[in-house]
Amino acid sequence: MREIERELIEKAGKGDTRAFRELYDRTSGYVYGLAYRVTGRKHDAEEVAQDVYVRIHRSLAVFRFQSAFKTWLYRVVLNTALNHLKKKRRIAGHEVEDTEGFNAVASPEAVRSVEISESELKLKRMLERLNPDQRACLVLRELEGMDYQAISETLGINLNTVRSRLKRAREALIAMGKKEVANDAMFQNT
Amino acid sequence: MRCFKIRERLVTDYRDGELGKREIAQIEEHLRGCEACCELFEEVTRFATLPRPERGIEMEPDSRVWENIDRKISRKRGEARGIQGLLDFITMFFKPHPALKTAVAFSLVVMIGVMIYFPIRTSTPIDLEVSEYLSEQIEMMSILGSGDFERLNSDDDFPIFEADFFDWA
Repeated sequence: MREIERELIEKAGKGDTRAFRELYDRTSGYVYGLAYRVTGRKHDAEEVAQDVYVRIHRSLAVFRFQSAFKTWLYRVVLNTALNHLKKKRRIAGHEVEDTEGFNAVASPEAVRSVEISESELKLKRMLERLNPDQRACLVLRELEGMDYQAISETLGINLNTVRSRLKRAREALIAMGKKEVANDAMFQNT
Repeated sequence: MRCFKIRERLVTDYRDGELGKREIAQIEEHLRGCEACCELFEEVTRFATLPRPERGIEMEPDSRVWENIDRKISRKRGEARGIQGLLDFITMFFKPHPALKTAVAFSLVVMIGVMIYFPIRTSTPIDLEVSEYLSEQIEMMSILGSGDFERLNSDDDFPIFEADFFDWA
């Protein structure tokens, strides 16, 4: 996502509906995508995106440009997504399994070819194995290319927590990968 | 550096390019002589690297997302307008026109003046009866105190004090 001009943010903050719509058009792909990677469900990602924009609409008027809009947006999306999952888990008592899950179709563009679809599915399968906090860290590192300092600032956690979450996430992925390889080998032998 | 420390860095800092040149050199030297650590780093690259989607992280949300946002914002704006209207209405009474303020102040001064010079007395028939009874009682008590008992018998104002009521003899 490219950085948004200050003028547009100020206009939207003053209640200019058109400016707010433009802001939505330019950031929604990113907001929805990030929410989807963290929550893993289309329906949850939509709810998170809605909450994010309602919150942004309320807070834009007092946005002081002390940090970049993009960084602020990252933080709002991730906090909203993580809180959404925690709230949902509290209500359900356990994570609700639904048929959609991580197998949901990402976007019409994303499934144009079998190859893309396969990589999308692989990504979903991998993220599915992690807890939301680890998922958020890994997505910011691997897909957004953020360094540890940026991840720490965005999520409001210290550097060692970033390190330990990434470590645990990768160890879980390695364990899962090795298990799959072993299963494949067993299947070929039978 | 020991394997334990190296392995920790292999899945985090080394993998993510967070180390300085000196530490990178130390790890690479260790990797040249340690098969287990080499294997771990290979696993990190093989199993723990997320495939990058074609469009990066961006995904197009459904059109209903904007519709819901728009509806929520409009509702909030309506609520805010309603509250503002109520506040304006209340404020109107606390911030009247300066001429009205002067008029109210003048009226108050006049009213207070009138009340001081012409106190209002409102007496009901019961009040009058009670006050008459009390003054009779006070007069009677003063007569009793002075010892002028004849006045009690001769005065029709005190019918209750008949001569036989008191034991004069």
